[in-house]
Formats: sequence, C-alpha cells, structure tokens
Amino acid sequence: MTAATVAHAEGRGRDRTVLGAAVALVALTAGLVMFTVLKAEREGVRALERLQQAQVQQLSRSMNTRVETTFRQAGGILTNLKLTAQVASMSDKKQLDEIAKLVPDDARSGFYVVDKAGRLSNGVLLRDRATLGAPVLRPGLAQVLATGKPAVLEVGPGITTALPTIAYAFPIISRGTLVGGLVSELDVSPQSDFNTEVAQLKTGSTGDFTFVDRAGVVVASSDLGLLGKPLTDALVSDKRGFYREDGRIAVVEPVPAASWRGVFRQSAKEFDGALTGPLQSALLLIVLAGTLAAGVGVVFLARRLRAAREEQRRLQEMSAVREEFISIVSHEVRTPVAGLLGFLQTTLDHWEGMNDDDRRRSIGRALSSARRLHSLTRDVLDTSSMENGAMAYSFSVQDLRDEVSSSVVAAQDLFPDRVVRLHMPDAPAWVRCDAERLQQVMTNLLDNAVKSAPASAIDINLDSADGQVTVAVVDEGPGMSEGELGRVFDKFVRGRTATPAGTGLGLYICKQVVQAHGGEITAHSVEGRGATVRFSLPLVDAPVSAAV
Amino acid sequence: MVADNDADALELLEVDLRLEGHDVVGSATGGMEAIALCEALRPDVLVVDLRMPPGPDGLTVASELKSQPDLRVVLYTNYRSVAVQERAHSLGVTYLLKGDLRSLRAAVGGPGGA
Repeated sequence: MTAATVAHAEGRGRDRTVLGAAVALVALTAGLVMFTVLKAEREGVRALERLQQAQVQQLSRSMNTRVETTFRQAGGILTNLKLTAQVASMSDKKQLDEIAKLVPDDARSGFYVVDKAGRLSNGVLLRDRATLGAPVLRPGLAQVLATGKPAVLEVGPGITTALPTIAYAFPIISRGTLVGGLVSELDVSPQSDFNTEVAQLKTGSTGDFTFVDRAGVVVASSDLGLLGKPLTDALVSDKRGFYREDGRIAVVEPVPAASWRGVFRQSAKEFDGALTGPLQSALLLIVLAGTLAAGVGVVFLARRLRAAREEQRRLQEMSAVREEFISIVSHEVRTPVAGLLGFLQTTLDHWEGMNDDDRRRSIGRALSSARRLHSLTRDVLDTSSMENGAMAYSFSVQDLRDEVSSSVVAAQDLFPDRVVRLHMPDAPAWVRCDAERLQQVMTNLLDNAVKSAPASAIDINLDSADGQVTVAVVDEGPGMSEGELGRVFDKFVRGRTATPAGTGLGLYICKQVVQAHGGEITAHSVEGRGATVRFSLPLVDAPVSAAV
Repeated sequence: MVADNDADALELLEVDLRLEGHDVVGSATGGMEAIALCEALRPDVLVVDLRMPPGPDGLTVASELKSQPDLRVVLYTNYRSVAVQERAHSLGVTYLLKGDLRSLRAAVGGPGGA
C-alpha cells in the first residue's frame, strides 16, 4: 500500500463519518418534525371538537331564539285579533278568515282552534270537518291550556295534513281569561321549509345535523330517512356535550324553548379528517420535502466529498505522471548526451589509433546522438508551447507529396537498411500547412514505425479523395492492443517498442499539429498484425504560381 | 564483455574499450544474452547497463553471475539512484553513471580483456 492509498483510505473513512453524522442529523430532525406535527394534530383535533360544539351550540341557540320569537309574535297577533271564546264556538267565522289570510296559499299544513277543554272548534285546511267538536288528543296541548304558556308539541299525526307534524300551541286569552288555544301544525317532511333549511347542514358524507323532540323523535334532519322516526343512538345523550365512541362522534345541545335537542353526528374518521386530512397531507409534504432535501443534501455532500477525494487523487496522479515524465526525460536526455560525449571523447582520446573510417563512424554516431538530443529537446519544448497555447505555425500552400517524400528520404538516410515504400498519386495534393511541422509529424510517424516494427517493411500511402488527402504509415510489426490504441495519442504514453525509447510525446505532438491544420489523426491495429497511423488534411486550391 | 540494449551505447563501449587495449570478447543487447555469453566466454570484466527490457536488468545479471568469483561487474547506467547504488554495492558491483569514459576506463582497469 502506498502512502497515497493509505491517505485515500483514511479520507474515505472520514467521509463516511461525516456522511453518517449528516444522516443521523436528518433522522433526528425528521423525528422532531414528526413529533411536533403529531402533537399539533392532537391539539388540532381538540380545537376542532370545541369548534364543532360551538357550531352546534350556535345552531341550537338560534333555533331556540326563533321558537321564542314565534311564541312572542303569535301571542301579539292573537291578542290584536281579540279572539274570544266565541271564536272557539265557531260563531265568529269572519275573524277566523282574518287569521286564515296569514296562511299562504301554498301552505302544506294549517292550524286549528280548540276551546279551553281541548275540543276542536275550527281550523284552516282541516282534513276532516267531522272531527269538529271532538277533543284533540295531542300530548302537551292540555298543559298549554292548563298553564297558559305556549309550547312546541311533539311529533304526532296532523289534523290539517296527512304528514306527521310538529305543532306550535298558543293559548288564547281574552280579557285575562284563557278561552282556548290555537295550534299551528308544521309537517315533518323533506319538503318542509324548516327541513330544507336543516338539510343544508349536512357536512361531508357522514355528517348530519338533526333536531329531536322531547320524546326523541326526529323533527328535522339533514338525514332525510330519519324524519319522524325515533333517533335510537346510544351515543346521543340527553345532556349537552361532545361524545366520541366506536369511530363516531356526536355533539348534543338543547333547544329549551322547544324542548328539543340539536344533534350533530359524524364518523370520527371524517370528522378528524377535516383537520388531519390537510394536516396529514402537510405532514406527508413536509416529510417528502424533508426527505428530498435531506437526500439531496446527503447526495450533494457525498458528491462534494467524493469530488474532493477525486481531485486529491487526480492531483496525486498528476504529480506521479509529472515525476515519471521528469524521470523519463532526464533518462532520455542522458542517453544521447552520454553518446555524444562518449563518441567525441573516444575519437579525441584515440585519434591516432583510429583510421579515417573509424573516426568518421565515431563522429557520425556523435552526430546522431546530437540529433536525438535535438529532437527530444524540440518535443519537450513543443509540448510545453502546445500546453500554453503558444505554438506558432507558419502556414503556406504546399504540395503534401513534397513534404512526405522529403521526410521519407530523410528516414531512408537515417535507417539505410530499412525498406520504406512510398505510394503517391501523380496529381499534386495541395494543403495549407506549416511545412516544417508536417515534416515533424512524418518524422515522428516514420521513427515510430522503424522502432516498433524492427523487421518490417514500412509503407507510406498518400491518397486524395472527397476534398481530403490522407497519409497512412503502415508497418507489419507487433501492433497494439486495444488498450494501447486508446491512449496512443496521450501525453507520456510510450508505445509498443520492446525497448521503450522516447518521451511518449511524439504522437501527442502529431495529433496537436494535425488538429491545428484542421485535420484528423487515427491509429488502427490488430495486435500481432501491424499498425497503421493515418492522418488526413483538407485539400485546398492550387496556389496561383503553381496553376500556370 | 559489454551489454547494453541501446545500439549506440553498445558500439561506444566496444570501440572505446577496444581502443583502450581491451579484448572485447562479446557484446549483448539484453540480460539473458549477457548471462549466457558470460557463462560461455568467462570474461574478466562485464560492463552492463541497468535497464534492458524486456529481459533481466544489469543487477539481476550480476547476481545471476555470482558463481563467477573472478568476474568484475561494472554497472554503467543513466539511472542516478541511491537504491541502485546500494544494491550494486551489496553485490560487489561498481556503479558508474554514463557520460565520462575516463571513469569507466579506470573501473575496467589496465589492458587485459573485458
């Protein structure tokens, strides 16, 4: 394990700790949010219960006020009409007609008058006039006649309508004496004005508002099926209050003037849902948003950490590449320097002992070392210029055939025992180029082919087609693996030679130069079956001087 | 006997040592060849480069030839490295940096055959 790997592993451990802490913090926050929301929900439900109770209370109170108002107003009317006992004996039909005018034409039920003994004297919309004179047996009526106080009578059969009715019973007092009573019937039916009003109090799909009378029979309800029937519900108490049991809630509030109770009933789920629904949605949203934010945060943090780690690794790698480069370059520099110095020294030291051929050969070797040093220096300086974007090109229109053939001739001079075959068309291939740089490309490619395929002939093919001229340098050497092919144009990647020589800059420089000419360079190889490096440049028109 | 994977370097060694009056009995371009030739030719001195891929390097060659106590090995290399120097020392190998032929000539010694 290298120091860098150890540092990397330690860094990863630290990252995990930081991430763990972040996740724990997120979980803690989520827990707190849940706790707060659930607490708010409990308090919210309690507030909702109080609110519902207040609503039922208000409805029942307003009903109570209406009943009291009716009692008062009816009392006034009856007094103003100066109804007498004679009315009760049906002698004053004129006055009865006066009262009848108060009954609207479309009335569904009417009213009747009883004498102080409770016998039916007369009425409006009476269904059966044969009952005149018979006692009206309606619970509560006797008490009105006995006490002289108005009351709302319990649900019972009507005299002015076939429907079940409730009835307002008012005493008729003439000159301080009770002479009889007036009973105004109201039908208990879905169509009654009263019930139409109450029906509007339906809440959600399970919430119903109901008025029940003293005997527990439904007087009005938003649940129409209950009308006129006894409300048998264990949850509905006689006393005011909020009740919750078996998944249902009930609110009870008395209407004392009518001896009724206002009752609101609903399924607990729906009732709580009014609050907890939105609250749960809110909670869900909070949790989702929180999870998302936390997730994004954690991912972001993880990425930041990873990126930092990656950056560190990259820097270490870069530094390693740099060190290797320095080591390669210094070795590559020392080799030709040693050759140059060595051959010059041996020639000088043994001048007398050498014949002319020996001396020529030795100095020739010194020269080739000096050339190697020169091209190496140029490669390094070129790379530096390319990286700084300071590479200067001097473009002119040239026949690429000339550049290629002169570099082939140079290669042939340098490696006289190698077979280098050049195939070119007769027509010129004009390109806009920096001739010296293109020579450099060709020299690099030929040099690579010579070194990497020691026993192979080398073919150079130049072809023009579709506005492009392509130069291929083909060898029959060992070729390259796919991995090598992928990196062959990278910096410091040293090629397929069995004895690696060079800085690994040659093909990198070739690529930069070719690209600067608006061209492309590619490498193809099947391992064991040679390699081809091919570059293409855009063709241009012939220069004026050449067109003559 | 000289061994170097660089043709120019090898030629320089051959030429200079010969002109110095040594009998260069063999030259090798790789580690395996150097071992084989040393075993066959039994030279007095082996001048060997360090890195000679893909075969064994100069120090490996030296340790392989431990069985020849009379053989003097001179490691003649471009690699300036303390680790290499120490390994060379432990093997009784003379470590020289390429560049100055005079120190090489001194290390190989008077005329007598390399």
